[in-house]
Amino acid sequence: MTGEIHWFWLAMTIAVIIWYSTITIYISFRGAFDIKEMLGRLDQLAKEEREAVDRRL
Amino acid sequence: MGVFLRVGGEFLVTVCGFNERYLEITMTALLVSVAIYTIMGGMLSVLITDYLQFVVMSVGLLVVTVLILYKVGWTNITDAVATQHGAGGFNPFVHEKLGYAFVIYFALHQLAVVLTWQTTVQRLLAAKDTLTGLKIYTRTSFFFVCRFLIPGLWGMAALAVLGPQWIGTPESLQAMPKLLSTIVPMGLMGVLIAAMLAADMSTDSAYMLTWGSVIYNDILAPFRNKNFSEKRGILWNRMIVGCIGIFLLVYGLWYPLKGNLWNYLAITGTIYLASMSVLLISCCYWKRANNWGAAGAIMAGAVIPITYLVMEQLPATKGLAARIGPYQSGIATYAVAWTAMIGGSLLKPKTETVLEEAKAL
Repeated sequence: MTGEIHWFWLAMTIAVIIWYSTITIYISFRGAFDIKEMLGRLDQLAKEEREAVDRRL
Repeated sequence: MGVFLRVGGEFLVTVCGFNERYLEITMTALLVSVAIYTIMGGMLSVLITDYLQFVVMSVGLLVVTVLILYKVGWTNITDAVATQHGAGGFNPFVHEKLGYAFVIYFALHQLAVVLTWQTTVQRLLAAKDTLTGLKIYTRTSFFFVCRFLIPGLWGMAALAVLGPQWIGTPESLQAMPKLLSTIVPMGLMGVLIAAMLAADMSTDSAYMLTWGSVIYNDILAPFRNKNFSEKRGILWNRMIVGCIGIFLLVYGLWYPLKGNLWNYLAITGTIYLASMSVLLISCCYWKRANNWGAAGAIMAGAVIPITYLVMEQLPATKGLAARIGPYQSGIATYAVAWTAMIGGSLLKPKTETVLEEAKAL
């Protein structure tokens, strides 16, 4: 029984390392892309707001 | 929450091999740097730094975990646990100090954490729609296994390398950083320190920002006669975040770390978690839930953990507290919070509820 539990935890540890590595690689690329897109959107929004203020003046 | 800063500071000081007298300076420097970018940049800076910190932290965690498995070895780790704890080291149900009470309490506790803990709920509230909110729960669920298994593995490796003499001593919290300082080579140590700094800083910034927004939006809202202008709102938020930073520093400097920190965090967390999870579930799914029940659940949910913490400190009741145990007192807290919620709600006369609802309309 103890041997089986050791295997269970070993399998869980391997699963964690594989899953965590995959998520880290995925988030590194996807996150950079999302943040770049978000900053671009915020820049555009700020630009539109500035233009609206200029038009009012 | 004030404990995290001290834990992070002590970890860094031990891993880097600094003199302990630099602990306060390390903690203050950590907090000041986090406070500056949280106060000045708000949500945007926390979001971007959290992303960068996640990447650095994850790389560090993975590299060090693989190194530990390579250098210490799986067999040595499991043998050390088996020698020290027997079958209970691998199965909480058969552990003499854990058992079913441990599993039930932490099942309730973790359910309450994912439902109501501010730093977790923040992700849900930032989701663009319900579907994304559901995905946050389903797709990140295995991440909680990683969060518990990786530090657990590091602790087990510390037991295998340093031996059992650290167990139960006030210095036991330093066993894992001590192990890392001895087995991690010089170059990788930089990656590890960067990873731990990232983990500590992202925790502190997320706590300051999320609890700051709770204080501003929920606690201070009833005292504001009219909505603040954006500029004034930001100023208030910055002041609140600054005050939370001061609280973290004062509490971190004052609180001495003791042996079982995990149980201390769980019991103090239960003061909030038990009542808030009961409130959230009953207010969403039970029509009879009302403010009498909510007040009862909040009071009942706080009384048991506070009493237990006081009993643990008093010499006269220390023995009784040890006999009851933290897990039984935790389960009792959830049971009493539910009873108070149901009892309080049923005790309130229906006519009063109808009148209040009519007034609100």
